[in-house]
Amino acid sequence: MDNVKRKYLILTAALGFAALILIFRAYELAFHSPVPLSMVPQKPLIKRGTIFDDDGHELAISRDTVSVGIRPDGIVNAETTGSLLSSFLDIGKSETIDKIKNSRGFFYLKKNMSLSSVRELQALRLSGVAFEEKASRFYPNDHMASTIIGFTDVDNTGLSGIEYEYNDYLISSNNNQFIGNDVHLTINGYIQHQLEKTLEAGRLKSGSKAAIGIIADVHSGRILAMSSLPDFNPNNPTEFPDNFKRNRAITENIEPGSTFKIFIFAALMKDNMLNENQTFFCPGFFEYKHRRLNCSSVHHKESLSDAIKNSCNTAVIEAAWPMPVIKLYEHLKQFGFTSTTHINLPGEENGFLPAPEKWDVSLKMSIPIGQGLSVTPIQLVSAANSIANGGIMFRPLIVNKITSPDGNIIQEYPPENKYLTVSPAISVKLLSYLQQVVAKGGTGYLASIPDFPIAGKTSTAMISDKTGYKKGKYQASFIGFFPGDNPEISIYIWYDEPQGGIYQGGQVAAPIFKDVLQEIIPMVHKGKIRDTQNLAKQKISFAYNKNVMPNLYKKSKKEALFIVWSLFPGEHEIYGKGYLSGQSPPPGTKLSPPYKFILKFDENE
Amino acid sequence: MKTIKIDWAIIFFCLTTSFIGVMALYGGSEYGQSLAKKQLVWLFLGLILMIVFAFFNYQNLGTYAAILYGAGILLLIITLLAGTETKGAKSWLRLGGIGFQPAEFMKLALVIALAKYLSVREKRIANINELLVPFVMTFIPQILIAVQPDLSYAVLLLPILFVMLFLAGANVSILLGFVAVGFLCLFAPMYLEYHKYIIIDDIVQALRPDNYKLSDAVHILGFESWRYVDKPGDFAGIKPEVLGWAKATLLIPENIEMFKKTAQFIFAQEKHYLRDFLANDKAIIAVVATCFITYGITMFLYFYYYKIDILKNVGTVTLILGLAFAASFVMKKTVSFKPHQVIRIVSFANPDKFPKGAGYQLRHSIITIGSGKVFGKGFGNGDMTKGEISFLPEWYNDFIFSVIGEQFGIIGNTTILILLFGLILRGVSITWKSKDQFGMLLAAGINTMFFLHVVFNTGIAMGLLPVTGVPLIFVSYGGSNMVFSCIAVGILLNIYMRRFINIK
Repeated sequence: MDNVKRKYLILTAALGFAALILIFRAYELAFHSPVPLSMVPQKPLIKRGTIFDDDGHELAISRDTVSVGIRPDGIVNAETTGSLLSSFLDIGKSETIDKIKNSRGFFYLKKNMSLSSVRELQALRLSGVAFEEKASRFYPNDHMASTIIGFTDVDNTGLSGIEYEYNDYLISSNNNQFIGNDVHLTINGYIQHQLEKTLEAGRLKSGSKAAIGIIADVHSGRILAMSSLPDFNPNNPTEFPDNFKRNRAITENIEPGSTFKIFIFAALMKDNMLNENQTFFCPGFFEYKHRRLNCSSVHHKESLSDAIKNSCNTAVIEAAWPMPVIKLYEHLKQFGFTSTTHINLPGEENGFLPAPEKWDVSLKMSIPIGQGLSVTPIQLVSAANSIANGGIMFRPLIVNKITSPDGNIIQEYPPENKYLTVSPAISVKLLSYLQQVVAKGGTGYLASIPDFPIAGKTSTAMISDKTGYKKGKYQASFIGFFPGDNPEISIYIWYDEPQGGIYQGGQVAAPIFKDVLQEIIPMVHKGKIRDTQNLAKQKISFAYNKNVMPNLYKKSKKEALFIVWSLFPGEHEIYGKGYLSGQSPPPGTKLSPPYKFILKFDENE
Repeated sequence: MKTIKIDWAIIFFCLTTSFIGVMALYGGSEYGQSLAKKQLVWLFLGLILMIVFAFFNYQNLGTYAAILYGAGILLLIITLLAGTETKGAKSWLRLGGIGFQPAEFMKLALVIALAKYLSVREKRIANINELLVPFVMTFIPQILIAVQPDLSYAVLLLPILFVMLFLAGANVSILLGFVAVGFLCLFAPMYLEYHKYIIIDDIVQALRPDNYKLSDAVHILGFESWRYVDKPGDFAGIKPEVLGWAKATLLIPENIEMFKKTAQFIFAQEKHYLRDFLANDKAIIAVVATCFITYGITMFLYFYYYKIDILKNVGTVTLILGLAFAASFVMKKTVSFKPHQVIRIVSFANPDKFPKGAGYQLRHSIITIGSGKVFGKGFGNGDMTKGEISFLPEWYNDFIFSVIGEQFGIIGNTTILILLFGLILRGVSITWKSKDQFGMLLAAGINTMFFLHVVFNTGIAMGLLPVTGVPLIFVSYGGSNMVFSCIAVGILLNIYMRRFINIK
């Protein structure tokens, strides 16, 4: 009986043990849920939203791409696989085979190709060859507006510019489409292109190290174009040095030079310390207690208007001399020269204006002529805008709105007027003086366009570093307003160290201002830029409804593609060149995204 | 009639688990609701049979043991000939629209037959020679079930035999020896199949440059290619569709040769001693022969010259090894394993090797259980079972335990385990109290059967055991299992009632 009892004990113990193990495992699962990593529901990859310009053209888009990777341990025959891959992927045969043979771990053979280009290769199902599909960023305009838009890293995270500043919006999705929100910039693609083109031409001609250009709407603070040269191609950001990726327009601390005189005169006028009929005498220098500051030339006796026209240093220092330092400092602060403008871009600098107690004699002489302090171009432009628009200080805007992929507005950025800097009367007065600068005999005459009123101010600033001002090195710049009597836009052009003897703002920057302006006057439409912008948008939306297939027959390829790409982005099939001879779907068909058109062009049509 | 005592506890356990199972089914999905209704019908039928078997004297079962056993074997043979094939296994017999699983019947019939045999041979069972008959009795249905192939049920029969032998008084060391035999028996062929499986991709790659048609054919057929290559004669008259084309391409004699050569080449390229040894028939035969010769020599020496225990032990070990290898050799030559079984077993060991294939159910089951946390998502609120193609396949049958975990949380899981183990413990106490050897062995066999079902099913659902597919008694949906489990409980009640006197 003892034996039988022992047997039962053994069996019951085994039973209890099994029950305990099972219950323990159930608890373990409930509390620790050892879910295999591969089964954890992954955060859905959200396709980065699109960045549009003011007219709805795409500046940055997400494309579905595929990368081909190699797992060397999965390769059966390196020679055959390598030669197959090289023929399909258009890469060197021997180096591919070497790569496969010599590497131990997984590596990418070729990255970010279009889906269609690897379709045949995928069908082969070669072992050891992996295909990784993902949406990657593509910038259809390459360099255009690159320093504004910025770029993304391999994981599609924004690293600079709008991509960085609006990363959270671009990758957050409010619905289940897994597409991020779209960012609409105030930048106008056409104006931006004209600015970049002309600015680069001027940079090459003058041999400058760097260039900055800003075009802004003075009545809203919207930036229509902003360029910083040299720039980079955001499609291959790694090929460019970091310095090229910097947006100088908001990060460069520059000594403004003579353009700064505008604000000195504005400050003096605000305190009624400048008489319209006042005259100055310029002996070619300003001297105080044996400290001498040279003027550009000997101007002799001159009126206030002439002093501005000639950009006379003596006159502006003399005029500003009686003003208490602290008073001038406060006025300059009101123009925004000590704080950032809060433009929606990352990394903005705030310039440097010495505190009033530090203003010694030499600073008191140099600050009125724009030396001995530093500002950022965007600060200068937004302060100048307030002079041009009757005194309203606007926050500069680079983003119009953020919308969901289906067009619902998530956030809007309406113009923000902060405060008044000058009275409208002073604004009108100053503009009339500034028009003289561009008139015949003025320093900015090269910026003039016949029959159009233009106001502006040139600057040729010396460059300083720790050791002092560098001899023979200048920064040439020009700030101008169009139309000069009642400005709508302001344009700022700046060149760093022009080479070859010609370095004055009037000679280097002013002609570029003219070139850009000439190209964009049709857009500004004789001073009614806001209306024309609306008109431009209406024109498209009147002619083409987003829900109906437009009739594109007989349109040129350029024209047709412009309409198609701007209104119906998608994977379209396009054949031939010339004029449209066939389209699918036919005109009048109701459309809904995703769009997929077949467009055929014929040269004889 | 005073002495009639019904074990109400066991009835309570069996009814509560059944109702929890029906609830889990009903809350699972719309499809589950219809299953729950059917399950209630099965439960009702089962209860009637339970009462019938409770009042019918169990000792009469012993009288009919041989007939029952014979009927079971006959049913299994009929199943093999005329059974319905589901999921690659011929394990169902359709009688007038109602599916029936003969393996369930065989299980019970085997327990009865073994109990009868072992109780008759009670005194002599410690002798090795006496073990032959029970083993043969188990192996016959086991092989018949294994070739269906329904491996899980086949595996299930062996532990029942061992526990019954153990209680009947057989030699423990011998029993352990047979465990080793059984293990090797299954392990060797499966291990080889696994290796065949994993080189298919390599074969496809290797064939591509020389014979792209054959390569494509192998690619389409996958693991199945081996079946055609091993027995090309069985596959005449193939329909001209994709699979048909692939089969026809592969079955061209030159192509078969090429396939074999390629496979050999790939096997040769990567050395694997265990695999090569197990695959080598001559080596196995040599090992078996050596074992048996050693056994013969040691036994001869032991009986005629030196009565040393070491000699006897060496003899036993070599005998077991020899038998084990011999069995695995026979198994390899006779039973061809289905790919899904191999992959299931492999995927347990390495679920990441087949991310969307065999490890799928296992992972999904684990996720389903874990998702319920402590209190569960609530009755009918589980998401893993919903939809036409549910997240967890076969949730109503093999993975009902996971569904209970999802809906009722750890509380539900613990409750169902406590209830089922309570049932088994009551069974153990009935075994202990039974008045004769036959009743004791019968109850023990039934208990072991219950225990194995519980451990296999829940262990599988929680990722502790390879996926093989055994229903959870009283809880899983399924008529055969429900009815035969009820009958088994009826027999237990019967033994309990008659523990003191013989009631006619």
